[in-house]
Amino acid sequence: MIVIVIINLVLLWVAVYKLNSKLLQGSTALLYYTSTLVMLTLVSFLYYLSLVFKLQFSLLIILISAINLSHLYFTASTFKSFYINLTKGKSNYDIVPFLVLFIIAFFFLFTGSKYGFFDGWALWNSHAKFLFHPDSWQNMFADTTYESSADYPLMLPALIAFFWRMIGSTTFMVPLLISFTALATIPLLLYHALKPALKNYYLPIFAIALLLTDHVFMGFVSEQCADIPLSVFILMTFVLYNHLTKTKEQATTYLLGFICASCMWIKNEGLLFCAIFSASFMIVNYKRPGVISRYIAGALLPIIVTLSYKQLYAPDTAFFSSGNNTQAILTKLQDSSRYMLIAEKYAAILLERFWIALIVIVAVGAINRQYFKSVYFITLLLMLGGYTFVYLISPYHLGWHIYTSFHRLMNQIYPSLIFTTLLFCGRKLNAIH
Amino acid sequence: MHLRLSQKKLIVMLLLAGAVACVIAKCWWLNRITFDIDSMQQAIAPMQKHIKPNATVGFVSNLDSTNQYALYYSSKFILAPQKLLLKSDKDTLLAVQLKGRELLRLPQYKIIDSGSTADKLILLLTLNKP
Repeated sequence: MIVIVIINLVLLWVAVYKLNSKLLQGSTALLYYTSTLVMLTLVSFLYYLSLVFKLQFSLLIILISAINLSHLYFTASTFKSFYINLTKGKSNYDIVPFLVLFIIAFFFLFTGSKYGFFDGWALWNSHAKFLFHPDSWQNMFADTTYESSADYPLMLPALIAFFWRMIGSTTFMVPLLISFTALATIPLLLYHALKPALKNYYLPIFAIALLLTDHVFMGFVSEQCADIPLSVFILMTFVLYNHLTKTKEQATTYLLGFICASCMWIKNEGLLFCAIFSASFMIVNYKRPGVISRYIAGALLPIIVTLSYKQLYAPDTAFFSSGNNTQAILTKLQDSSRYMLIAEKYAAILLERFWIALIVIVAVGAINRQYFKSVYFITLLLMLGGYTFVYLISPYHLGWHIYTSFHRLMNQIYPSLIFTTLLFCGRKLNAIH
Repeated sequence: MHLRLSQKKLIVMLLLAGAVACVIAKCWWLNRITFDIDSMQQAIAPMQKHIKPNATVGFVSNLDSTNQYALYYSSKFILAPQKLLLKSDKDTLLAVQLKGRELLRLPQYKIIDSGSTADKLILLLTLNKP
């Protein structure tokens, strides 16, 4: 079974690669990343739908095989071109990505934890265990207390459950390896996105160094929560947006819509990101209905899957249940002490854990002020505003809620902040030289 | 420093092999270590056969309400997909108690199965029905 599933995943990846190569031209590395992300998103959708429609796992694999068979002719030709590229020795063997991978693996060797953060096993892996059992996966919704977070989206649990079904065991290694891979993807993607955009090595290596020397970021290597996967998708959204604005390649808009909307399927904060980025994108392109319709067409599948899940299965989100009604929310919004507490905690956590981010922002302000008028900065700023609003109306103890979650939220946008700031710095420096 | 293609290939292969070796070594090492949740799993897993497929099991412990969360979520993770709720009014209860503390007395329940770890006594209880 394992061999059949792996072969099918590889074939599915190649099929997605083939499709993506028509949407995203000019960057092979970006094609690899987007194909992998799209393939994993599709696998999670298919696994979730197999639970909804009570399909056996073997039938799901037959379905994926059927999709692959229909593409076999094209995939065969793509395999052939891969083989030709490899044998011709076209790869220039860039050492940096492999060095990054080794450093992260070495760090993982000494600091990796078996079950990750509390939320990792108590929520995400626990949800995955429910999804592992197709006959009783809806028992996940039995605990309606807001601490159980049963309304969380299912991409990560569905992927973990899929791989558990593939090997027939709920081993700790699957969520651990997914966590490791997601974290390793971020510096690699940053490097491969910045290098062609800035046409130099220094800033991409600087970006990697910022992340690899950050013990808070590296501490997420075995986190096993959905913050880092969300961070990957948010970063990819910005990378694709940059590619789109640079190349004006309209087909990329489909992919941009898909990746951005897939954030909704990862975490509830992804809903916020999707709403903010999509609104910014539509405002910028309001005179181009073709672009907007392509974006919406790309986003449609993740939106339908996520909203159908939210509508049909997921219980009400914690913030609007458990007595947190309109009156209670209004009272909290008028409470000045909550604003003070949030400001105080933000300042403490930013200075203690994200001082590099503050330095980077000040530096980019000095080098290229255009950044502060860009879609990138406005989206990231509104994300921070969204987090703040959520804290303001939080049903939890506010100090505890901020202390236990703000660094995770910041890590969702931190790699994107590094990417976008260095992009603007690099452009300015390139213009000077 | 300018490296030839063959040298670059060798370095890439070594780094890749090193990365894979680090990950395999870590997984192997973690597989050997028994964490608290693993020992709880060994104690609770045999009890699952006594629980009907869609029955709801309550959870009690001899810790205060703040500290029992970790125990509850560990038990929920282990028992999944069976339903475990942080409620003490169910016909079936999972009682996870720390050995060093005063044990709960639940005279209206009888023990179906029991297990233990180094520091915990774990009981599956059912309501005594007349």
